[in-house]
Amino acid sequence: MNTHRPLLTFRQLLRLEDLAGYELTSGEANVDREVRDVVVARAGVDLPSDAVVVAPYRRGAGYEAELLLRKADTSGVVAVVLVGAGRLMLSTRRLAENLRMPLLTLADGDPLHVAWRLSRHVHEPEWLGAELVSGMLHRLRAPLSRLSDLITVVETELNATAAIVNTEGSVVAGVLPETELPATIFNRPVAERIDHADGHLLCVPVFVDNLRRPELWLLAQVPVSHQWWLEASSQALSAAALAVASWTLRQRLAGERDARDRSALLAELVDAAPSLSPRLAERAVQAGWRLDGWHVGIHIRMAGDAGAVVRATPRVRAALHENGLDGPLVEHADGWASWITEDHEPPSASHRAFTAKMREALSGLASDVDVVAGIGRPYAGPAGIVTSLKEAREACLFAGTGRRRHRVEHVDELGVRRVLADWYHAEAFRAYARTLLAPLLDSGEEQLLETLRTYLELESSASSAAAALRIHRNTVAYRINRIEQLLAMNLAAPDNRLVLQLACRVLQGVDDTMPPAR
Amino acid sequence: MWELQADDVGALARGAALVGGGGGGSTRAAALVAERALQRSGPLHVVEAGELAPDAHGAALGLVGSVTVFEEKPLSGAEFTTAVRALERYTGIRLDAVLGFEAAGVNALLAVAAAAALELPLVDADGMGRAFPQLDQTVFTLHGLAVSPMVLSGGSGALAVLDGVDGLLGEQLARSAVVTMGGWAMVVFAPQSGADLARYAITGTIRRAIELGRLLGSGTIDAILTRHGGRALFRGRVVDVIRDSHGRFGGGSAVLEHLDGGRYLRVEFQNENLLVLENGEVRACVPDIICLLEADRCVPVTSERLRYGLELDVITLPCAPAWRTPAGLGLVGPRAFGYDVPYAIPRGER
Repeated sequence: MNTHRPLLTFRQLLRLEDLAGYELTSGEANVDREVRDVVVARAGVDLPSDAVVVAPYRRGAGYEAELLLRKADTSGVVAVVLVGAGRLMLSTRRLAENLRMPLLTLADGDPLHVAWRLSRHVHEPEWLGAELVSGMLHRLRAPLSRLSDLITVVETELNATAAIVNTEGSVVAGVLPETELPATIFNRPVAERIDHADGHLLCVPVFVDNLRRPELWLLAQVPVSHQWWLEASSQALSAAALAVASWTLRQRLAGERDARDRSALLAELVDAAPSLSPRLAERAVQAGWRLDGWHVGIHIRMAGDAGAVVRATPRVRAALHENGLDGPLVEHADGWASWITEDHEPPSASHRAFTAKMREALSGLASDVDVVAGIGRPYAGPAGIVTSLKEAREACLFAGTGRRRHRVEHVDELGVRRVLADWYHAEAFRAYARTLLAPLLDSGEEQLLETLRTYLELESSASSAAAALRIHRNTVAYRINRIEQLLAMNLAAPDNRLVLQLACRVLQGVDDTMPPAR
Repeated sequence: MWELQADDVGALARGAALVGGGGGGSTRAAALVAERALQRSGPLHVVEAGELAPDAHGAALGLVGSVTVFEEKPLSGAEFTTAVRALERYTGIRLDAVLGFEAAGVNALLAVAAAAALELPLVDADGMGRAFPQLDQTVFTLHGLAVSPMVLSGGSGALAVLDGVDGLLGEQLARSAVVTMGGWAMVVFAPQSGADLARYAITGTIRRAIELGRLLGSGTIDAILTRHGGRALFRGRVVDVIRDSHGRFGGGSAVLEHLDGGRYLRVEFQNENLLVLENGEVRACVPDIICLLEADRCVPVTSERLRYGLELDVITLPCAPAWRTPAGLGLVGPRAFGYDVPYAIPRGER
């Protein structure tokens, strides 16, 4: 026997699968003694000191446990393991407590088998080490479909609690161990081990793209273990880290491929609208896109390269999902296109709520995803997707720019109205408008300005203006004639009509002259 | 020779319950039976085994089966005479005296009732000197005396004669017959000569039981220990009881916590209390008599009455010397009851 080999302690044995489901009745304080041997108790045979004694618990003969505990105590035994134990009587528990003897009970099993397994670990600790590594490799031979599967593999193979965290320490999968992580742990890209009273925390870096800077860390909290088991556990964990890296790369590849497919499909849709081939319609359905109904287009633009767009896709999708915006998300060169489909035409007032949801979604994204968005009007059918997206793209051009600097812009609030709004607010034009219309204002005939405004708003139609003002058509014609005289302007000239209409609107006040919102 | 009066039955019942050592059954109904028999017959002649003529004949008798059923379905009164007359017819031997095979618990009282009913003297001796669960655990078996022909008589009038059997086979046959006969039966063993009884029977056990009963009545355990050589082991409260329904007899374990706290005594029983451990060490074991008494009231407690919260004194009384021989221990020692411990009296204790 190699005398340099450190001996196992009883506490280290407790982690073994062979003792799974054990109950430690007493002697918690004495579990750190080293174990030299494992024996099965036999009547009339002396017990070796520094050994773990395994004995059957015979039904109806619980007193035997008390005799054994006494004998174990005088022989200097490390711990007593009772196999097949039912309810222990109070005297047995108290005796073990008084003797401070670790008394372990196992509900079922074969004492000989338990003793044999424990004995093998005690005499050959490297055996479990080899088992840990080969067990892990065996479990990892099939590719992972989910990260949680890897967590399960690590937890069962290493008898650990495991987690995958990013370099900021946020959990990606699993549950973070209760042990506090030193802040410096992520600074050096090498595997670390942190020892504490209840066990050891193993930390292994996961390298994905960058070979010097790990993107993720695989953490495993293992029970108190023999040093050889720890080394083996670290190696097994490194193998698991490779599996994590390969999973991450596979996800990225798949993400980029899917992104390409989606982009191509949308491009074809745009080209084909409004008439879709059955084949294209089928592919859209396969992609989970709904073509009928009413669509509201969303265009999201992001600062950064195309790779960054694909990597950020899951986070953008999650942010939209959290705000109830579940539509297709299609990557393009500088961001994403998306659309929300509803069965019926959305009410005209809903666009404000929609815009607010979108703002909420974008503000929920981390600061490193720098995005702005535009929203189109609702349109029906496959062609509606294309039209609404086009509007959204135009609205997006204004997002984050201009005086208001909103990150999200709705097309309704942009375009002509915006030009006009800027126009109305120009002081120079207000002064000009007042000068231009001064003859009407000074004439004392208030109805003239009202008539002019109505006439121009209603496409210079005397009949429509008459109906709107509830006066005779000839009266309108007369008043227009009079207005032309007072202003010395000919209303047949388009330029004159335009400048007068703008001047009327400015004087009437901006809000009154807004066209009804859609 | 001395006389046993109806007035002595109360003391006899208490003492018999004590030497029952947790077993022997509840003596309440049997005490009434014995008392009534004595009232009817007058004082009973009790003879010492040595007073019997060497060629006289005496037979051991008693109840086999369930005492609980016996209490609910008592004697018709004719069982002993029926059994003894059948034995006499079968063997052609007239009995000169009877004795209990077990002068403890119910059977000490039924021996008195039988002697009174048969109008025969009672021999102050028995085959166990305490209570044991099996018919073959007697000194008669130990010394190789014939137990058969033996006669069983049930409450319904059924009679069974078992012949050609040794102690163990007799026990097994009787046990299965009793089930069919309604749960209990009276058994009379083969007649023994006065010489054999004087030589082998455990003597003085009726007188001892009465004396123990009187001492219990005066509430002094110390006097019992001084006069009869016992040991006081423990005084504590029952804090845990487990009953094992799988054994043949009502077995189980009880744990007492000492009134001073911190000490625990474990009692293993199978009808009788058989093994006492403290701190993982044997403090007393069968065949010594292990008695549990309600503290202060000095009332013996049978193992079926053990329950959480009872405050008990635990004492032991020495068994008959015949049981401490290797052969005796082979028949009734701890290993005979499945306890893998040697019979021993702890150092410093008697």
